[in-house]
Amino acid sequence: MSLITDTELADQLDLPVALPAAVFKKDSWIVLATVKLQNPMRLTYRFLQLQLQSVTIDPAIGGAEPTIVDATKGLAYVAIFKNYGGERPGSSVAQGTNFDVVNATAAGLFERATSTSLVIDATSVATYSFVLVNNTGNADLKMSVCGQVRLDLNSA
Amino acid sequence: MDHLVAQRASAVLNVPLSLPQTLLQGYDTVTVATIKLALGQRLVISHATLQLLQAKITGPPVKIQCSLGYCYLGVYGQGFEAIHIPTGSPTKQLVLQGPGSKAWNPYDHREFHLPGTYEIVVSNNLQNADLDVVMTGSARLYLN
Repeated sequence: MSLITDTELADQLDLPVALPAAVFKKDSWIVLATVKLQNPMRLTYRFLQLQLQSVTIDPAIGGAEPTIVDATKGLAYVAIFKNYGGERPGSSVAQGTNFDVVNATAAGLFERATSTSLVIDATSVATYSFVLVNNTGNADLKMSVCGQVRLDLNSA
Repeated sequence: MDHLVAQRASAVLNVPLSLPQTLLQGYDTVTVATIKLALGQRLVISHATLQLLQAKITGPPVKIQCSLGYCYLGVYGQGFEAIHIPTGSPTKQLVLQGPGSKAWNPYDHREFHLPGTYEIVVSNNLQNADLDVVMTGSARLYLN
């Protein structure tokens, strides 16, 4: 059994990536959390659950099924963006790159596999943002998010 | 060097400080967390990131407090006036002078020992602007 010191514990912070249930209009997005990393910090991302509670087709637009804006993703998703500036995710003007996507393909609970961790070492100063996207062109989605990232202040 | 046992570790809590992307209109302030500290407890606030995604300003910026930039994350001690606009300077603050992101220096953290109620707020310090802000952080509460 390994032990941890007071100092080591003080250098580990758990940061929330969370959102109580809320309705998102078609083709909208929100930044859930943002973390600015600098050397010698390390970010470890392991746990996130996205619950899609309801899908309501906008009667003004109509359609039998939700239409997807970004065909590579589900109805909704949470993705990490590096140096994100608030632009429409997936658009040509969006800054940064997105990765480690949790997709919701239908109503229900979708989770990131906790068996793997994404570890980001701060080699240079960068801001990482967790963005929740309603990826439909004609539906309002009710969603909630519960997740966590661990920030090691001293990974050296 | 002391090592922690389970009992000690169970008395150390991570308290989330979270404000998902929110539009703050002129002079708007939102309380992100309220923490009541009892005698013998200790609150350590070390890390938080504040990002201003977008600012829609009509005319030259009009600030409430000149030193607090466009928007700020502030820790207020006892007596914080949450009904109207915040008064006085925060005990600890993170100020943004424009769009972008900024983080507290976690190696220069602030500890609170004095019993009382602490308010952590995000405030739009401009009268004539709507600001799109997001904040993520964590406070550590030592129960004994």
